Amino acid sequence: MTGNLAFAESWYRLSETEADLATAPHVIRVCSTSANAIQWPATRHILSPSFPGLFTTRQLNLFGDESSDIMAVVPSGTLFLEQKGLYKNEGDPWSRIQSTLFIVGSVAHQTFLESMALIPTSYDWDALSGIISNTFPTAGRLDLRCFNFWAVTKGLGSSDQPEALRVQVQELHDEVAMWPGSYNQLLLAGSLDYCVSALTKLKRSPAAVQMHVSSAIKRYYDLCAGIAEQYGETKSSLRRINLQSLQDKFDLLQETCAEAQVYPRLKDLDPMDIPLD
Amino acid sequence: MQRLRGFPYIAYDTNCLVYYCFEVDIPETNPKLTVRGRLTPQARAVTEFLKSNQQKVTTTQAAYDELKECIFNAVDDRMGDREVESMLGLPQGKKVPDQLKLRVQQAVERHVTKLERKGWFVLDREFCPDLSTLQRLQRFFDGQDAHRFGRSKKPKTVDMELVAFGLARQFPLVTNDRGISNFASELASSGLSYKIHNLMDLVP
Repeated sequence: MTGNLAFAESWYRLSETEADLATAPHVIRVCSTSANAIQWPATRHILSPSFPGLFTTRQLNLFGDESSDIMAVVPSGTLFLEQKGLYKNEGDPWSRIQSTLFIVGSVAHQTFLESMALIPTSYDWDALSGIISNTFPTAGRLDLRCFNFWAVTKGLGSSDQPEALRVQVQELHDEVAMWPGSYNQLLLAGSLDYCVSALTKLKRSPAAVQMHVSSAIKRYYDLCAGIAEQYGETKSSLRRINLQSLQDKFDLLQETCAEAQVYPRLKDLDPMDIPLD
Repeated sequence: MQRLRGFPYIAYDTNCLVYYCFEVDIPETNPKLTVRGRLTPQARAVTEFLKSNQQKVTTTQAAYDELKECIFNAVDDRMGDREVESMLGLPQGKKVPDQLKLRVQQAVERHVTKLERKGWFVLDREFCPDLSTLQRLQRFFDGQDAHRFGRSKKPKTVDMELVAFGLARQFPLVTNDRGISNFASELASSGLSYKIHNLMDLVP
């Protein structure tokens, strides 16, 4: 895949099913920005990777000394995707990313991306600034220090997936654990804590078991993340809702983990079974 | 305990029910340890005494509806004790994992909800408090100095409903809430309550 990134319909729906990944390009290159000050006349879509660890990225961070140049870019007809997921710089641990991808809608931007795609895996500032200057010679002013550029690669080995998911679940647990205490809050925090432990144990399991159990945990995590998002602004109201359905799904998840001999049900759990941090 | 003798029904606040049920084996089969609420031995002693005398324990639907939050508060409080952390083999400063707290919360809830099937427990779904009694109770508690509530909070509506329940049915009320039991004699002499006893003041 070069240039014309993420224009395939299947990629617009990346968050919906894992099956979409089969149609995704193996390697795409995108630009991402967290430039909040810039007002883009664009449509926004949420790109939420359907499976954590979907992307590995290589980042050229322009926040350093060499990013002091002011470049002239005025995008138009740009399509935005908000990227929420995980990234991993080579050799680094998994981290959370929430940034905005912009996808080219105009001819100029398409050229820009096609040019970006010509850059091999290692970017350098001269090459990048040259491309931008050539692509947008008459555009308005934009401080490129606001930009990060990412090379995004699809497809990790299955052995990476439990670990990537574990980081994601741990992060949600840590957030929910800080919410006002209630029966429902402990249901969320406790069950996510269980998932983290199960994912830690899962690393020793055969690949097929990893896929089966991590998929089940991912589905449960998505439910919890949805609740956390819904009540994130009114955390204390979480206590008043009926989470019986979530409770039932957590019971099923425990069955899945126990039957796969990955991690025992809570009622069978010996404190010594809980993996250390 | 003799103070409860002779009454066919004894009203409990929800905390007393929770403490009665707060005894959890970890793991459930071949347990290595048992976590109990601090007031569980006393709640058990009182309840077993009542059961042995064919007396029944009762509470209101409104109080029972608070069950989940009462369970959470009791579990959260107990699982933060150093004694429990030590039982679980956790080093000093290491908190009990949330999954273990959840395990205890769920076990206590299962136990409490099973009470509805016990012959000695009656959930009164019919009781509806008299509005004027509630207003008088509210004025009474509003008129008290904050220090008299001790570490307890000023009673909420559901607590006052329990007091009104005891009064209307002429059932003694057992509570662990000092915010109510500290005022037992004044409430009774004002005609605002029947007999109120603090759980911990009942001698087995």
